[in-house]
Amino acid sequence: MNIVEIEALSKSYDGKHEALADCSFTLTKGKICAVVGQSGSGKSTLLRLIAGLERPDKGTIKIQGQMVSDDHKIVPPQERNLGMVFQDFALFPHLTVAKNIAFGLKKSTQATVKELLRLIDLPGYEQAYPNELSGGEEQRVALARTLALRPDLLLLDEPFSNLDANLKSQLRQQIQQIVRQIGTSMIFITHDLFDAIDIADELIYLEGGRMLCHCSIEDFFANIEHESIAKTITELKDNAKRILALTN
Amino acid sequence: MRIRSKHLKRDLNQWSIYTLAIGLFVAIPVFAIFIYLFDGVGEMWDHITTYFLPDYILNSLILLLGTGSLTFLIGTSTAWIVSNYDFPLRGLVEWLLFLPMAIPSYIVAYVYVGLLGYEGTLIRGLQSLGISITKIDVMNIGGLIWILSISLYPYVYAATKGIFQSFPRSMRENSALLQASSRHHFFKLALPLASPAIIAGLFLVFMEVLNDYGAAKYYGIQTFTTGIFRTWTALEDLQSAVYLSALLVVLMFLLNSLMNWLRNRRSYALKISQEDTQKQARRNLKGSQKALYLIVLWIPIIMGVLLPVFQLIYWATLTYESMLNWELLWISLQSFGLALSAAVLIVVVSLALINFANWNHLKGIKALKKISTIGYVIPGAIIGIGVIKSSQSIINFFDTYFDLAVGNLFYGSSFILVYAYVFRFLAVAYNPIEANSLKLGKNLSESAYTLKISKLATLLRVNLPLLRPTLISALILVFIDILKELPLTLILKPYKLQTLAVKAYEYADDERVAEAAWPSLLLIFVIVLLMLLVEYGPRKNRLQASK
Repeated sequence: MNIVEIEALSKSYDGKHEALADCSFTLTKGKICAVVGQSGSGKSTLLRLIAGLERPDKGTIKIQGQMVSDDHKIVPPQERNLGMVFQDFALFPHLTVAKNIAFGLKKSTQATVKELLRLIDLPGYEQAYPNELSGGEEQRVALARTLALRPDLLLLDEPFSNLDANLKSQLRQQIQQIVRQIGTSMIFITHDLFDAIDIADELIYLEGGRMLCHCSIEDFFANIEHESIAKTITELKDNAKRILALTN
Repeated sequence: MRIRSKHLKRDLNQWSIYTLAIGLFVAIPVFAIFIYLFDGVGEMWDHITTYFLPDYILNSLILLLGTGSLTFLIGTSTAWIVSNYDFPLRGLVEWLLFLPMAIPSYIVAYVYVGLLGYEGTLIRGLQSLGISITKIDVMNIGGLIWILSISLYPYVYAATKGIFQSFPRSMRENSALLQASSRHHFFKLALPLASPAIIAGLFLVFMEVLNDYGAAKYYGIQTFTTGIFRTWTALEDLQSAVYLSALLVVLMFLLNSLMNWLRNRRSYALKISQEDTQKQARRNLKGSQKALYLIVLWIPIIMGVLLPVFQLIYWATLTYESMLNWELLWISLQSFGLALSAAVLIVVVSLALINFANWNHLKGIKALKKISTIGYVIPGAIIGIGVIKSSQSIINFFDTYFDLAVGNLFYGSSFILVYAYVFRFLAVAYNPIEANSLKLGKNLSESAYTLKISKLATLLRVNLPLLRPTLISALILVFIDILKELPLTLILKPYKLQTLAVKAYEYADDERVAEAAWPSLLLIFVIVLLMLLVEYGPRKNRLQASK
């Protein structure tokens, strides 16, 4: 079953330049999809359109088979049953970790909060405030807060960009593990192909607001049709060769 | 208004309608002035244009020029010294220089007559020193320029001090390495870089000069604002007052455009690192330079704060038996109650306008929120005329079509006065709340939406707790402005309502200046207390503490 179906989606902020142009794809339930591209390629716009935080100029979006965005109606974010983790984590600074996690719950139970804190490997952090956490801890609390509502789809905006290399690799694995464990689907944005290679099942490559490809990770490396993708991969391979040569 | 028709139906929501309704309702007074122009000129218009209008224009321009020059001199020089030098009582002086903001100019105006007129306190002091002097006449345009300047220079001082203190240390060090003298550094670097802030401060001074009624009326100087009052009350020609108001609105917008043009022409992007500015070293003053700079600093404090306050205290000691009574308490309570209720309403309207406009998806309607905040650049007299004229139309409408007499609702209660305050002072609350909402960013609200929380609930649970210090400051600032406000209150207050500002003005106008001291002192005391609260009250919240 498809969790997301997007058809001919376009968005322009100034009426002249399209931040996203004619983008179409579907994502199967349970899959992890990475949206890759340079700055200004339209990655964030795509994610915000799916979340309902932006209004498209044209095109349609279906989530779980239900039309949530077309020319006639826009279903607001709070009715789409999806969760989003922002690049700056957007934890509420005046609330404790426990209150942040329980924020969206109608009836919050200590047990739910405890369970989620255990899931993200931060037990005992209930009474801490966001300004007392490290970047990685903030990231995981933001994820737990989103997971508390058991969303059908998880959206992560550049989840690894603010983290150092060691933490990044560790957190990638941890997030992948959690997503597989709860059986949800995930779309995440990254400008680093390594993030995609490490945990994604599929990859969408955007350039200048246009979708150049949507395929599995294996196909991405096997079928290089587009010149700029080929260039990116060649650079990646060259770097890998250099590192190998140095270590040997 | 650019609204994409293709998505109009999809993008129009309840927030668009609420924004439109609030925006239009708040902006009625300014629309009214221009709509009523079509009713034609009033009976006295020819008389006014022949005998009075040239004086109104000339006097207003002289006041603008004179007060602008003096506030520029006092504001920038004091800001420069305070920002760059260390001297005895520096912290106190830095704060005292703000204090004229707490003393309305109409109070300073009658205090100076009491100080320098026949038998004036200062004149008697000079006479006791053997100086042969009977009075110093301040009740002329020069005197009014002086009064307005020592009352209004803090607008320039505050804006300029902020920018001077944010200059990076490296700028002065570079300047010294390039062998520039202090004078060269000030005139060639500091002043040009601070000019956008100075222009912004001067613009506020101009607004206050054109809004002034009490001081100009007391000194008998004919300005646009006193002219509007005179045309309406003495000449009983409301329609000509509308025409004068429209002329003044045009003058304000020309002034606004000129200031914006100047500011944009002179705006520079300063790269300031917080660390760098914090290290900015102040130099010690020595010798004759120290004496000169201390005089420059203490003159506005003595003239604008200490002399008026001491004179008021002296008068208060003479009149406490007759003035300290239940009536004064009752007037104070009415004054504070009125200011508080209007201030709360203004903060609520600001919050509603900012958030409803953001929640609406039509760009044209977003722009409307700016129109509803222009009240601060429109003098109270004009707003008063606009409100009176539109109230008359509404009263006539109900009378003609429904046979309902609603006049008492408008003129017998404080309804139209509070409404006029909302229009006049909306920007005072709106601007800081909007700026701090922008600082909070969209992500916090948006993450709440994705957690299935509605927009209103997000506002209550996320934005309001984080904006609490800003909301309290905004409330206090509006409260202070309303407490001091005179022309609007004079025009629109119901007969039985009294405020401290109006009472002080009425006593002074009746030549009972000593009695005016009590309401004036009470007003100043409360305002100073509130200013201290804004400056030193609890401000930090977890957002500011967060990384």
